[in-house]
Amino acid sequence: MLAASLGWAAFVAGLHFRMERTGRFSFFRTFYFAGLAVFFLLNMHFTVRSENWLAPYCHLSLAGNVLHVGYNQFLSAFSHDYFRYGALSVGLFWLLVVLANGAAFCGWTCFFGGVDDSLSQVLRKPLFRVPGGARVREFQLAVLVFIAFLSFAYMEPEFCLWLCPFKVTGEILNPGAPALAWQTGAYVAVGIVVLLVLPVLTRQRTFCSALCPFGAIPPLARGLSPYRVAVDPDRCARCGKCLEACPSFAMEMTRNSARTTRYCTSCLRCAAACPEGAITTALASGRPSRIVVLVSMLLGGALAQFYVPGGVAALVRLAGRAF
Amino acid sequence: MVDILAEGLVLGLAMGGYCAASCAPFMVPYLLATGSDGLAPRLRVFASFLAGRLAAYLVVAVAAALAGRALPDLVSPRMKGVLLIAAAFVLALFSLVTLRRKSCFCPGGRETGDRLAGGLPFLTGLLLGFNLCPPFAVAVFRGIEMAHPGRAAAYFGALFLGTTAYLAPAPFVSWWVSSDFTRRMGVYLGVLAGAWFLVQGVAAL
Repeated sequence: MLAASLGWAAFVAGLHFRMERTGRFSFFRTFYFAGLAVFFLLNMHFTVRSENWLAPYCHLSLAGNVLHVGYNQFLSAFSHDYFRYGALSVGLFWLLVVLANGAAFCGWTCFFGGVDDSLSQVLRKPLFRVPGGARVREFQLAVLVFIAFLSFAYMEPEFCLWLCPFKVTGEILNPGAPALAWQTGAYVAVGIVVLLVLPVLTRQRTFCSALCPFGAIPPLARGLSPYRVAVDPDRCARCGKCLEACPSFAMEMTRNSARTTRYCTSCLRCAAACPEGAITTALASGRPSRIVVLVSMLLGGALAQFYVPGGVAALVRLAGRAF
Repeated sequence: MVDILAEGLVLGLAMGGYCAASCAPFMVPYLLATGSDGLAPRLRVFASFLAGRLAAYLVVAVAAALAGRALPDLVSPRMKGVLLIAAAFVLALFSLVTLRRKSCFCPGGRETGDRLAGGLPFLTGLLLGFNLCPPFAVAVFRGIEMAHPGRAAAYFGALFLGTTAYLAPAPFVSWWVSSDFTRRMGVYLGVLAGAWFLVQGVAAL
């Protein structure tokens, strides 16, 4: 495991060096991000089957269960059983991650994001586009609010039961549960279509943009984030290629030039698509800076230490069985 | 009783955006049209309006419970599923229609309220409280199912509190209830609630 951890750290460092050397941030980010998702799903899938499995405090789960968790945290104040009910302390951790990484978390760090991000780049051209633009991201905020209230009402993690991306690896709930058939059916109808099918057909991150409850939070903290993806209006030709390339409904065209909105995940696909080289990463002040890439890879790489070594080990075991 | 209150409150909180988006655009101009410049007079008008809404909710709650008690076979498990599915479709349909037409779809609410806006905030609230918007229909169904006036009143009281949470800022910050963003959020919540009730209804069949 130590070797796998060190190897992973070296890989991330080398990848970042390669990005800086070639300037192909979006290209290398895609493979890095997809790798995070693959190794996370592998690690979780095999870990869940072990006897020592503990439920992770997943950020998607916490976002959707914030009221439920808050209630449990309230109980802990009176029960003194802090560790059992202390899920909100992990929520604070995720909040700090959002503040440190901004919405770039969704483009570089989230271990589920690589699923629809990589699938959204399978086709060269979309078969159709999801209409509505930024309205899709507003719907995501409604999903967060609705799931939060629903989870509190039923005292269950409703997002996890109905829409968790991890379910693509196989059903993890008790097969004897009576609600399971409906939840599986709803997941196939909605979750899998939005997570696996639509990203391929539309070249847009439909699950992360429309259904992920956590994804509604970074845009709300946009004002606190020091990072931006900036468009130089003097170089922008208003060709619209960046709008077509953006997978997160985060670009809009103004009278002077294109610009990113609060929903930008710093994936830099717009920068790769821009023929004028008008799009760069910057600080909130407008000063060009690539620090968001460094911070994102540091943060994502550090978090990935919890699951990449296990995912690599799982992959080796699978390969061993196959051959 | 706690679970009934919680369910009613959560239904109100989940539906409140939908209700605020549809009915508040009428209520806020009414508040402004009363001609009261100070906060205290506007609060009085707002309190009268809410009292009318609460009265309507409680009347409907007791009526639904008495109907459920008089006709105990009115609600079968299969009918529960059918009613939930119907409410879900109506809820989603109204949400999408509102999104396109930007209209308040409280039946008769806007026109009736306009006629009475001159000086009857309580009656205005009462009329708006009687509107059969789909979330309210879901609550009526629950009242029939409970068949107990006290429990139904508690449920509707909690529902009232949940929906009022979205209207409460209106006297202080009138602009927000008429914003397109709030209206759209209400529509999206309505669509999500419709989808939820649809699944619940199908599962109940």
